[in-house]
Amino acid sequence: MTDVQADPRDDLVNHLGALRAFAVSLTRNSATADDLVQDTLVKAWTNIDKFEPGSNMRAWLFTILRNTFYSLRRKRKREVEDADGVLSEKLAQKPEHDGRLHMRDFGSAFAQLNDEQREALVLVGAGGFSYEEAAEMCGVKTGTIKSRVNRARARLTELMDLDEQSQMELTDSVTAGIVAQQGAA
Amino acid sequence: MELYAPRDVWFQKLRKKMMDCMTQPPRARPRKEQADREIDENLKRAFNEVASQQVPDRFTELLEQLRKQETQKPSGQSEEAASDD
Repeated sequence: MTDVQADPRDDLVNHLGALRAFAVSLTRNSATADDLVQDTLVKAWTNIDKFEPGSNMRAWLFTILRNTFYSLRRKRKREVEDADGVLSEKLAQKPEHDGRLHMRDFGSAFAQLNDEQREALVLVGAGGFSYEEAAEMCGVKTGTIKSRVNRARARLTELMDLDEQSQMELTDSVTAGIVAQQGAA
Repeated sequence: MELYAPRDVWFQKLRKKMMDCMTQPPRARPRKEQADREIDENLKRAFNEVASQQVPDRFTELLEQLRKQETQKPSGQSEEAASDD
């Protein structure tokens, strides 16, 4: 009887690529990302009755994926997170020879955002979701998503020197840092 | 007619926006906008790069397997039937 209607599970295969991209953006590790996608698919499959036919399947899948990500992260908190954090700090303190990060360092700048900012930015900036949709997916208010996106953009701009003004400031602070180091040595 | 009212409002807003664009000197455009656009472009590029990669077989295989499990063990049937094979 249900055969008359299309099985929403047949549609899962069309979202694999986007799911992987979202998972990579959250985990920044392709092996972990693929495990996350696998968990998401199994959950989606077994909970397909909770999917509202006609609604946005990608949003539904992304929600499952990010919820899985955050519950996994809670489980094995420290280890991965801290390692990444330390690395990010190092990257942040090691400027290019001319004292600033370039566009090709987008990845390392991106890695310095916190998970919530990164998630919000990816959903809105790359995933094509509205602030409202992203808020619903993350279980927070629209204003929260907006401020996360704004803070994420501001931080990236600062790190990558996308605006000239901060470029000057950063260069100055780097120079100050070098001078201070020389003084100490 | 009130049917046109929302459109008029919309049109006035658009018109105002266009006028603002024309009257404002180009340099006055906030740098932030440019920076945000560049960020989004980078993000989209990175996102689409992964999204358009060939999906590993494990996922299509997983979906096939889930489908197979289901047809082998329709809901309501006892465990016995499933353990037959």
